Amino acid sequence: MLYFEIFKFKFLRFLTYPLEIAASVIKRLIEIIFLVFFWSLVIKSSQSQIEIREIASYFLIALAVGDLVMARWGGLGSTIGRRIKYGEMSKFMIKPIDLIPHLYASTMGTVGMRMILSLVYFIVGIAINPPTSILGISLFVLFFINAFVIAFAFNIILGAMYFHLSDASGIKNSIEHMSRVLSGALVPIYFFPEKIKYFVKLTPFPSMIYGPTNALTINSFNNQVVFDLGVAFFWSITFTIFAYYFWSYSIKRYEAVGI
Amino acid sequence: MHIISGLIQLKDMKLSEFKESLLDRLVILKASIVYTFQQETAYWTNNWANILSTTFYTISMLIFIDVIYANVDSVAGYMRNEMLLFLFVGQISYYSSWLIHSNLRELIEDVNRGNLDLLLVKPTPSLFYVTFKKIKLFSILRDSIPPMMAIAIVTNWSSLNLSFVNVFIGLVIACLGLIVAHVIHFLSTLPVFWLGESTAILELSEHFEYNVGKIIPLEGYGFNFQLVFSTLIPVLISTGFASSVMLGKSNPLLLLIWSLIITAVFLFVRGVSWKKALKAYTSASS
Repeated sequence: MLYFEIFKFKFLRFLTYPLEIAASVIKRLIEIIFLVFFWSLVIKSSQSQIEIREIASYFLIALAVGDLVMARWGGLGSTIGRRIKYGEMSKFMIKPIDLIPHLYASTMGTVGMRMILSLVYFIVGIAINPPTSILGISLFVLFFINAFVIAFAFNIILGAMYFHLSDASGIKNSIEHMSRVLSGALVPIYFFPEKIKYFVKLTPFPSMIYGPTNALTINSFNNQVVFDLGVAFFWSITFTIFAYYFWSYSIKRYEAVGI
Repeated sequence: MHIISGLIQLKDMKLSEFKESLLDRLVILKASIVYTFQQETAYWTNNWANILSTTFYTISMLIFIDVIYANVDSVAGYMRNEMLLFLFVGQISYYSSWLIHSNLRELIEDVNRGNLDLLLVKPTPSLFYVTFKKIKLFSILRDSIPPMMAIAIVTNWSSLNLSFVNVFIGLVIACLGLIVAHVIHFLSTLPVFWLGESTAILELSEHFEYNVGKIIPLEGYGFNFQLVFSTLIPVLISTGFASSVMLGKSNPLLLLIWSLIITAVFLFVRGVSWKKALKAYTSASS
């Protein structure tokens, strides 16, 4: 309940400037419209059988998943980083609250409008190209949970880097730029050349966005699905363990003056 | 006789006023460059990781282009190397615009907190000062050279249909496009004078310019969109127009004249809007 109040407070603060909300919404719409427009140009020039409807649905769902799990822009990581950089962690540490859930609720409140819009994207994406099997929906749920766990741990790791570097934004941005391409947020992974695709799929990035998005189109349970699920499970376990130990180790290095 | 000598005197007065105002502006420019350089190099190890960020961004874009061209021969009539030139011009214009872009965010903050009074009471040209308050020469050069070199290295320049005249006109158009893009961003900061906040509106204009102008080439748009994005919201000039002219895909003189007219109109709008915004400015400080 406390964390919901934190979320609500942050969200309501954003509502003070209605024109700003409108600008944020239009910004997100522009992003998706021109990404789909660009890919429609690519499809027109290619021999592939993919329809514009499919690619529009893919990007709507991919951007929605990326935003909902915070894989696309590292929202929680940025909040943690900012708090550490400006020595603001102290005021949360002395309170009887859990630090990570507090920071998560605070981030969710700040980007509440983004999350609402992501849900709209997701619904529109599903409406344009609905999943054709129960298997696809079940796999989506599995992949989505994995994506959430990986992205959550990923955000903690990115944020905890600020304990070790005075300003880790450059390194954080570098990883996010690579993630944008390799996660499938900018290019569906099936467009990658065959040999590169195999290596890209072994990295944790596709499990955060491409995995759940692609799951909705799966109609049969085959070796490829088992492989993708295995990779996703592997990274969710590895990242969670690493994030836990890295956070526990890093927080001991925190220094700040006053609260 | 008296009228002629009066006119000459008036002309001399205006000339000396013009010289004085030009000198004032040069002094501001010099001070801005020196001050920003001192600020950027005071903790100069702090932001070296930004090079990593810009380089990785470029690498990700190069992968993006390679993946696309592994599936198609051309996009909107642009072959792989032409698309790399488009990316190169887009990145030059992006980094150039960021030389003074942070001033817009500072303007929003100054108006929001009522700090603009401190500027307005000074005997300086206010619009010029807020535009060139900081000129980030050092950090932009530092962050842009490695990624630009990466694009230059992977581009097969000999396969491009480039001529000196087209490249020169393209560069002039790119400069005009930069001015226009700056005015668009500047206009999107001004709502702060009435609303108290305009960060998201500025971000929207940045996002719009990037997505419309720097991802899709001019030829990718139909005629109606080309018209809208080169007149009403002219975000195609700095990269779309410039690279199209450099590659010989469009009439250079037509686009140059078009860009000149749009730049003049937008500069005029900028001046008028600034005056209106200042009239709306209220603050309890000073």
